[in-house]
Amino acid sequence: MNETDRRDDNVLAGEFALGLLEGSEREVFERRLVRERALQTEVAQWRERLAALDATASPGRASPQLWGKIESSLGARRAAVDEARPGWAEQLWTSLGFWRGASFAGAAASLMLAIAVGLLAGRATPQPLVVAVLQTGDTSPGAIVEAFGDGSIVLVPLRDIPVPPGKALEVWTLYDKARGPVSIGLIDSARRARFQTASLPARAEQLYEITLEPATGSPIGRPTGPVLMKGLAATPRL
Amino acid sequence: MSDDLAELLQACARGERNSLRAIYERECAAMIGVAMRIVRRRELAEEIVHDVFVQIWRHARTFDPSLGSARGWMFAIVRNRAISALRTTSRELPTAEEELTAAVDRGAESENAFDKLAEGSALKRCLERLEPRRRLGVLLAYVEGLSHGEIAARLGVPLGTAKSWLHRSLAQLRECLA
Repeated sequence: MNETDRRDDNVLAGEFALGLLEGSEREVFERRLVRERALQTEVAQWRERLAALDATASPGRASPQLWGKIESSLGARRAAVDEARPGWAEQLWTSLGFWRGASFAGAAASLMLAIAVGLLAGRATPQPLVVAVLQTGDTSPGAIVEAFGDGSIVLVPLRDIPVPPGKALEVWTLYDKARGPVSIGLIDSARRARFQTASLPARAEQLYEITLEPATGSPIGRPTGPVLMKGLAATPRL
Repeated sequence: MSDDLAELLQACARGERNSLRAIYERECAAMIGVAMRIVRRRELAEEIVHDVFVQIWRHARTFDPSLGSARGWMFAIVRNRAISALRTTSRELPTAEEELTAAVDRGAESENAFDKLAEGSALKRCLERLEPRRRLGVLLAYVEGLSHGEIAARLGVPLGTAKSWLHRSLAQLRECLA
């Protein structure tokens, strides 16, 4: 890299640290930032250079509830890779293997689920309070969500979801219109995940959805990206 | 102090919630202050700080002490989040005119921040060397989180001019601070 490029990178890193890079310029920079140590150093140096400005802000008082809210979000946001044996829906789906490849609409899939639940009843696997089949835009089944009585929620994707660099999939539920969607958790790719939530409600007709968000999750606590799939929960008939 | 924070971050990476709580006790008020200067709405600033702590908890292990201080790392998250929230809200403003008005009454916090910088500190000295409007441009970006377009509106110059001013100011700052 020649001297001019290096100087340009330095200013670019400064603009990034200031928050001035937007859109594709920012995406390109962030992609490079992941790989290039020299660029990481430039950004870090800018942060250190300007950090004294952070100390000039007048402190603000947090409301007494803030810590409690943070604490209850910690569990909810941590999507542990599920090490336990295959869960209920997955066993179900595997046992429904012969249906794979068949083309069916989401509504039909939900119906099949309801029927198939009967096949598995009696197995010693914890059973969910509700199950939702999330449908993609073309109404094909994209994922299953199971919500359990202990507040845990299991997501089983049924298809790949392309996730662009710097983005992640965020799972939401809407149980109260006034409150708006509540984040269940974040995953970096379409994979099976278990989220431990602070016992969110899990009722029939409750909406579950997945949106595309920045890699660190929606910055505003509400969905900002496109809805990739969604579906209403139903109570399994066991 | 910053070393303490780095240790607390490492403890967070190991899953020790008490350490996150300790960071909260120490930095929450300052974080709300930094977020407030950008989003200017109390409850939004609090939401941002909420998200920041969730991020710190989830990403503590990615903090690399060889790159910079723990405090710098955490406050970068605060500013990132606050700026994204600001961009989202300004997109919700119905007209370009309102957006312009929103930018035009900015600047007081930036001037204030500049005044509060320690006399004789390298940053203050180097910012002082910039022509006042260009200096304000840099401060509007860092302190109040304005975009190129908003800075142009606030300074009353074309977008291209604002961009090149910022670009050159950063080059000058870097040279001065080296």
